[in-house]
Amino acid sequence: MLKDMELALQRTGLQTAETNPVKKSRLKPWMLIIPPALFFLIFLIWPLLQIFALSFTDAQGAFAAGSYVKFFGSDVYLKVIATTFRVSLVVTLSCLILGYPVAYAMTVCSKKISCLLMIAVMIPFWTSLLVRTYAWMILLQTDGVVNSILKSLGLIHQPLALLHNEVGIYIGMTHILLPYMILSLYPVMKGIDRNMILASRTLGAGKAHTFFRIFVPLSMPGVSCGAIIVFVSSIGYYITPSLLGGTKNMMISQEIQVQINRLMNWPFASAISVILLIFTYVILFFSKKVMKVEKLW
Amino acid sequence: MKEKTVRKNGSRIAAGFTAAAMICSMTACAGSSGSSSAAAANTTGGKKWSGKTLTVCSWGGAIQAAQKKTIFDTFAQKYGCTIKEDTDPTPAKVKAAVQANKMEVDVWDVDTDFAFRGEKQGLFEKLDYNVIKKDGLIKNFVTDYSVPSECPPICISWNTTKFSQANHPKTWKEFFDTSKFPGNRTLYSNPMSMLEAVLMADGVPMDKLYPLDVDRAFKFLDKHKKDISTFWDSGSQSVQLLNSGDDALGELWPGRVIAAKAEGQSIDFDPNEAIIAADSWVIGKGSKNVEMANDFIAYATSAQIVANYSVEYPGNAPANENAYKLMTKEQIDKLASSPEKIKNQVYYNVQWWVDNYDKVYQRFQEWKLQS
Repeated sequence: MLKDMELALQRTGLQTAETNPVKKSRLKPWMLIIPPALFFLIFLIWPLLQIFALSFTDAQGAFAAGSYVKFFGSDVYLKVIATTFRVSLVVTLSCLILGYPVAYAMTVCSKKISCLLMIAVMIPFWTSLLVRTYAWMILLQTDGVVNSILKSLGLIHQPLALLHNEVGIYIGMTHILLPYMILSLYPVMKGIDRNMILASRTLGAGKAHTFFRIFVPLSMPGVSCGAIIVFVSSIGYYITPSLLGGTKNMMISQEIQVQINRLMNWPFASAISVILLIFTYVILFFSKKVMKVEKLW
Repeated sequence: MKEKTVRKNGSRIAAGFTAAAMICSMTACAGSSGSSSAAAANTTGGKKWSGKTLTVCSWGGAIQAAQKKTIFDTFAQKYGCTIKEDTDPTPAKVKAAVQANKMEVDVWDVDTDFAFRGEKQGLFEKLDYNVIKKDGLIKNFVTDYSVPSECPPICISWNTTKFSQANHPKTWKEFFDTSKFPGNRTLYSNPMSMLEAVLMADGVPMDKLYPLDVDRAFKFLDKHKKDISTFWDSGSQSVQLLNSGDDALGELWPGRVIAAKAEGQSIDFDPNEAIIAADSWVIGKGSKNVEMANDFIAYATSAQIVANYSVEYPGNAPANENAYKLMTKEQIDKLASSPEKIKNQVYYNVQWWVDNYDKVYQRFQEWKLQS
C-alpha cells in the first residue's frame, strides 16, 4: 500500500521530503558558492592581505608604519585623495542626470525606439576605453571639433579650455561610465508596475506629482545601484584622467602607479591602496544607509 | 558520516582549486604580449645556441622594430637560436619577476637610472666582461651589472605650423621666453633631464649643472607654471600634444619626432642643448640563460651592430662610440646626437639622480599639485 502510494507520488512528481533521494544527498544549495568563494579567497582576499602586510614594511622588509606617517604627514596625498573623490562624485552625479532621462525614455518609448536607444548605449560601451579617450582628446583640444563648431557659430571668441583640466576628466569619464548607469536604471524602471502610475493618476495626482511621488521613489534601487557602480569604478580610473587631465588633476591610481613603477616604493603604494580601500568602504557604508541598497534584492 | 562529508567537501575544494588554477593559467596566456621572432634556426649546423630561446624585453614601437631588424634577427641567425620578444621593461615587472622567483625574461632594456638602483636591490645578474667588451661604450653608464644600450636625448621641439626651422627657440632660455615664442609648453613628467633644461634656461652653464640646484630650478618653474599646460607621460602622448597644436613647444625625444615627421605630422626638433639620458642592457636575476644573455649583450653593444641600429633608428645617440667609425658622414649627420652635435649637448649624471631621485620626484609632485 505504502509502496503504491510512493509510486503514484513519483509518477506525479510530488515526492515527500523523506523519500526524495536528492534531498537526502549532502549536496546543499549553498555549496554552489564554494568555487567562487575560493576564487575570491585566493585571488582577492589573499593578495589584499599581502598588500596590507606589505604596507607595514620599510625598504628592508622590517615592520614599520612609516608609509602611513608619510601619507598623512604631507598634504599632497590628501589633495590627491580629495581630487579622486571629487571627480568620482561629479562623474556619478552627471551620469545620473544624463542617464535617468535616457533610461526613462527607453521604458516609455515604442519598442523600436527603445531598441535604437539601447544600441546607442551599447555601442560606446563595447568600444575600447583607450579609443574613446583619444577620441575625446581630438574633440576637446584647442583647435578641436567642439571649439571649432562653437567658434563658427559665434558663441565663443576664445577657444574654451576643455582639455588637460578637470573639465576634460569629467567629460571623458562621464561618457565612459554613462552606460553602466543606464544599464542599472533600465531594468528597475522597466519592472515598475504601471498600474501604480495609473492608480495615482485616477486618484487625481498630476503628471509631475505622480512622477516624483510614485515613479522616482520606485526607481531608487536602480539609482543607488548605478551610483555605486559608477562611483566605485571612478575611484580607480587611471587612463582617462592621465590623458585628459592636466598637471594639477592627479588621481589616486596615478599616484599608486608612480610609486610602484617609477619610485619602486611598493610599501608606500600598498599603504595608499589600503587607505583608499578603507575610505571607499566608509563611503559605501554610509551610502548604504542613505540609499537602502538592500531594496535591490 | 561526518568523515564522509569532510571527504566530499575536500574533493569539492580540490575541484575549486583546479578551476581557479585553470582560470589563472588562461588569463596568464591572454596577458602575455610576447611575440616570437624565429630565425631560420640552423639545427644541423653546429651553431653555439642551436635550438635555444632567449627572451628579450624592450620598449616596443619603432625602437623595438629597429632592434628586431638590426639586433635580434641577426643574432638569432648567427647563433642559431630564437629570440622571443616582450615589451614594456618597467621596474615593477623586473622586481615582481625576481620576487616570484620566476625570471622568464633573460635580457631587459631598462632605463639606466633603474639599472643603477636595481643593482643595489639585487635584481640583476653580474655581467661577464670576458665576453662583453667595454671598449667604446659610454663610460659613465657602464657598471658591473649593466651596459648602455642606447642614449636617448631630450630636445627642444615645436609644432611646425607655429614655428619653423628658421624661427624657433634654439636654447632652453628661449624655450621659456613666451614673449618671443608664445603658446603652451609641454614638459616630460619626470624631473630627471627636465630640471637640467630648466636650470640651463635659468642661466646655469651646461658643464656646471651637477650637483643640480633643485631650489633654483623650482623657483624658475614657479615663474613659468602658467605657460606649462601639460606634463606628458609617454612618447606617443608628447607627439600628439605638439602635433595637435594644443602645445606649441615641448621637450621631446627626437626618435619620436623623426618617426612622426616621416608620417607627415607637423612637428620638428633642434638638437642644440639636448640632455642625453640612457637605457641599459641588464640580465634578470634568476635567468636560466645567463651565458647566452652575455653573448647577446656582447653582440648588441659591439660597434658594428650599434652602427647598424643607429642607421635604422637615428633618434638616439649610439651607446658605443666606435660605431661612428663604421658609419658614413651622411648617416652620422642624420643622428640627433653626433660627435659634432654632442659638443652642445650634455649627458645626464645618472649617479646624481640615483642618489636624489626619490626626494626630487616627491618635491616635483608636490609642486605640480600646488595651485
